[in-house]
Order: sequence, then C-alpha cells, then structure tokens
Amino acid sequence: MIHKKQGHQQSIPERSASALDKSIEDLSPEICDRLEAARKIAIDSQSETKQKNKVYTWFNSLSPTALKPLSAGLAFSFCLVVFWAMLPPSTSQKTLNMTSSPDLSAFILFNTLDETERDIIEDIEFAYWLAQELGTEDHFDTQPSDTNRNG
Amino acid sequence: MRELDIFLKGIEKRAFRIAQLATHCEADSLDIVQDTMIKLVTNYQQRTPEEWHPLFLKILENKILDWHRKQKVKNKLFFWKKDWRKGSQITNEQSDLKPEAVDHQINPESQLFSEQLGQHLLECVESLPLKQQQCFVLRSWEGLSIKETAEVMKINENSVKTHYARALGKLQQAQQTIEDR
Repeated sequence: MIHKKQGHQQSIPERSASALDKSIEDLSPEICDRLEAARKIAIDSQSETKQKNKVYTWFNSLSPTALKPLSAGLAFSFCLVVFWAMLPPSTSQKTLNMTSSPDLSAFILFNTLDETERDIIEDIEFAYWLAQELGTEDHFDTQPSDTNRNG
Repeated sequence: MRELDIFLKGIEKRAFRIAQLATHCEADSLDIVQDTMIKLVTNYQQRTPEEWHPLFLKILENKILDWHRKQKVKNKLFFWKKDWRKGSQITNEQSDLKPEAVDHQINPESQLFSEQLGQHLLECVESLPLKQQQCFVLRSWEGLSIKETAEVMKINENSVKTHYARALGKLQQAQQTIEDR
C-alpha cells in the first residue's frame, strides 16, 4: 500500500506532465531526424520568403509612380471602348434617315426657325388654308346655282 | 535566425507529441509540426521571441483542428474504410512510451506503480475529446494560464475552465481505476 500513497503525492496534471516529458525522451531517433529535417525546411523557407518579399517590395516601389497611373489609364481607355461599343451603330446614318421622313424634316426645320419666321410660316399656312376653304365654299355655292340655271 | 532555430529545436518534440496525442498518427503529426514551423517562420519571424511560444501553439492547434476537419470529411466520403482512430498507431506509441530508465534510489515497486500510473494517464489523455485534451495539455504541460489557453484555443475562459475540469475528472476516474486494481 506504500506505493499507492506515493502515487497520490503527485497531482494528476503533474503526473501527466512528467509522463509526457518521459515520452519525449523516449522518441525514436528516426522521428528526431525527421523533426530536424522539418525544422531545416522551415528555416530554409525563410530565405525563400525573403527573396519573394524583395520582388514584392520592388513591385510595390514601382506601383505608386508608374504602375498606378498606367493601370488607371488602361482602365479608363477600356471603359471608353466599352462605352463606344455599346452606343447604337451609325448614329449619323440614322439622322439622315430621319430627315428623309417629311414630317420629321418639317419638325426639325420648324425647330430651327426664329419666332418671326415661325409667325410668317403660320401666316402663310393660314392663308393657304383660307384659300382652300374659300375655294371649297365657292365650289359648294356654285353647284346649286348652276343647276338652277340649267333648270 | 539563430534564435528562431533554437526556439524550434526546443519545441519541436513537444509539438510532435501534442500533435500525436490529437491525431494518433505519426506521419500526420510530423506534417502538422512541419507546417506549423513553416508558418511561424514565414509569417511571424519578425515578432519577439517571447511571442513565438503562444503563436506557435496557436498555429499548432489550428493545424490540428484542420486535420480533424479534413479527417471528418474523409471519413464521410470513405465511410466503408476503417475509422481513423481504429487504424491509428496506438499500439506502436504505447510500445514506444514504455519507460526504460528506473531510478533505483526510490522504492522500485512504487516507482513501477508510478510509471504505470503515468502511462495509464497518458493513454487516458490520448482518449480524451479533442478540446478537453488540448485544454489539458496546454494548461498542465505547456504551463499556459487560463487566459493564454483561451487565446490559443480561440474560446472563452469559462470554456477553458469547463474543458479542463472535465478532463481532470476523467483522469481522476482513470487513476482511481488503476489504484483499485
């Protein structure tokens, strides 16, 4: 029963820790070698990272002076190209076609004129309309009189 | 550079043992330790040497968690295969862990019992749930405080206390069992 009492002298965490320490001491030499190799690989990766960082810093040093405006310019020109490509094809031809229509050409012409010119045109149109109206009235008036005369 | 090498040399075996406890696989444990070392060297070499220890443990714990996640997916995909715990190298580990050195100044019988108890406790630690195991190892072996353990494990301090208490309870039960034999 003595050994049981001695077993209680150490607490469970302490006993576990000492058992774990002992297990480390008993690791096979093969595992120790592999761990050493892993450590060397990790340390070597440090130099590789340094080289990568050098390239990265060189790229970064370029970017504020030359690369950023260049990339911005490229982006802007790309946007312009996209905008131009999205525009409806041959706008000038379309306007020509529009002007070929008589109503539209009249509308465009009317919009380009001054107020006085518009008044003149309206007066001419009114006079033309009045002449037409009078002509038709004469025609209606003359028809029965002619029949009376004939009759 | 030299300091980092010394630090890694000092911690590599402990890290391997922690990974081995969690994964039960020698090869995977070595991979985890190597990945941890590489990450520490590449990302945190500029930090002060005092910061390396908690950072290293944090990376290690994350790698172990990643390994478990991958293993979970693998087990789901290849469900007809053996479970990773069953196919692990527990028997080999146990044979590796057998104590060789015996201090003859102490009573040999009690020494043997103590070693057996330690061995049994170690097996129990291996069989603990991952969180409890990590918590117990970090607290009792790595000597981290509750706050540090919580930071490494990314859980709150109360959870650390709970996990640790549960782990301790299970280990006490295991100790009681071996004492009653």
